[in-house]
Amino acid sequence: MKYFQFYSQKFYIKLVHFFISSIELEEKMETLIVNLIPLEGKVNLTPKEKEVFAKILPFKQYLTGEISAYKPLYSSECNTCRQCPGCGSMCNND
Amino acid sequence: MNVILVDNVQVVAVCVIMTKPYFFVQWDSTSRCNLNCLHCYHTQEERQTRGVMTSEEAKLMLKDLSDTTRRWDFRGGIHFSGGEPLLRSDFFELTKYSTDLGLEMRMLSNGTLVTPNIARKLKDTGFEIVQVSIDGTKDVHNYLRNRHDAYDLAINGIKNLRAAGIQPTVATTLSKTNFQEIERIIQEAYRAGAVRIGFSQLVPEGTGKDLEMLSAEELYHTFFLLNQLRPKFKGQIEILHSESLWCLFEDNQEYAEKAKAENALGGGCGVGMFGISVLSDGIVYPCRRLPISIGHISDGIQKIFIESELLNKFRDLNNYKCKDCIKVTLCRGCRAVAYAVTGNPFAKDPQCFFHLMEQDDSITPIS
Repeated sequence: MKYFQFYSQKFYIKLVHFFISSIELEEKMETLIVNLIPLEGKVNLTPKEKEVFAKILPFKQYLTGEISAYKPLYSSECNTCRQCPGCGSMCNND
Repeated sequence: MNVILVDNVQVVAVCVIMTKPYFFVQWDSTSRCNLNCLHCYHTQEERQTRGVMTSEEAKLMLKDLSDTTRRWDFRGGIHFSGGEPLLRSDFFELTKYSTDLGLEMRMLSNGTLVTPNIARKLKDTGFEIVQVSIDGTKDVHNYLRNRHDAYDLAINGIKNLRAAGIQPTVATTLSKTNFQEIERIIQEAYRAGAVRIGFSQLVPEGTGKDLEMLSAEELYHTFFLLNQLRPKFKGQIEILHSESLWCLFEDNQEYAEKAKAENALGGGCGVGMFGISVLSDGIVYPCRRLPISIGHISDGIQKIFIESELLNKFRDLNNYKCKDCIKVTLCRGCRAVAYAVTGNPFAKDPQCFFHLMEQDDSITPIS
């Protein structure tokens, strides 16, 4: 009985883990797919946000999927805004 | 099989997270400081009179930052600044709260209070990078920081950070007082354990009004020298291209033209682009160096960043005096320097040296 309880518990945990994983997988896939939608189609952004992000090219390129990964602006070094050291980020090779 | 699949997804997820855009709030967590530097954003009066957000107010701001950046699908970052952020009694409570919210953290410190114990605590709460200001070799730094042991304490702070597994970054503000010793500053920062160093333009505001900023020609020669020193220090300490005007050295015309065709900002000055600056009492500036209020943090980050009239003006290239420059989408100089010198935040950066480069045949752009 003890063994049965132990294994059924383990099976239950695995089952829950499987469902959570499936949901996670779906969410991640959604994230990847969402990146291919043009800015106008982004449901998580308000119209005003879309208007603003359209004026910030690196954000726009990322959000519309024009670039698959957000890249430093025009240098291979800075990962954010080039305000460093003012911004404190100075995050080369982050 | 399922587990392997999950692991793969997690790897993909990590890659996706790391490549998201980054939006930050630079927060003056306190205006108190244990130093009294010759150049500071704060005037003496401001340090004594400016209010301070409570722990609860700070947590509301952090939660707002986390929620907003999540919805945008960006990485969110909080940069603790000051005053000296370590003087805030709830500092580690707030850093833990930030980590729990999934925010990335940076700290801008004078380094003097970073003992081995504090450095370990910083590491334990999630700091990977901490910026320490070094403004010259020992005598010059102590003079500018107005304290006889400021340099030794800051250097020890850098050593302690490195020993705790944190990457120390040195920030140096360029002025007539220190620009001739940049190579020695780099050497000493490297010896202390810094992994990178950035040089920024002095903004003549606050107590810094009395210091002399470099002329365009001096800044050009300083940047030129820094560029030559980069390969020399390669593998030891990285010299950052950390100001907008650095883009003048880079070969990025194709990207500039693309940005200009879309009337969009491609890079350069981060004002209106990547973050906002919040003072200790909650007043919001476009950048910590540009003292024009664009609201109060209680209005909400989204509202301020998206709806601020001034930020939207900064996002329109036609408003800039340098709008006809071929580099405008990637540069726009430093808006804070332009404002401090002329009173107009859209004026040309008086330290812009592009005209000097055009006459100089020795420059090879960096691709």
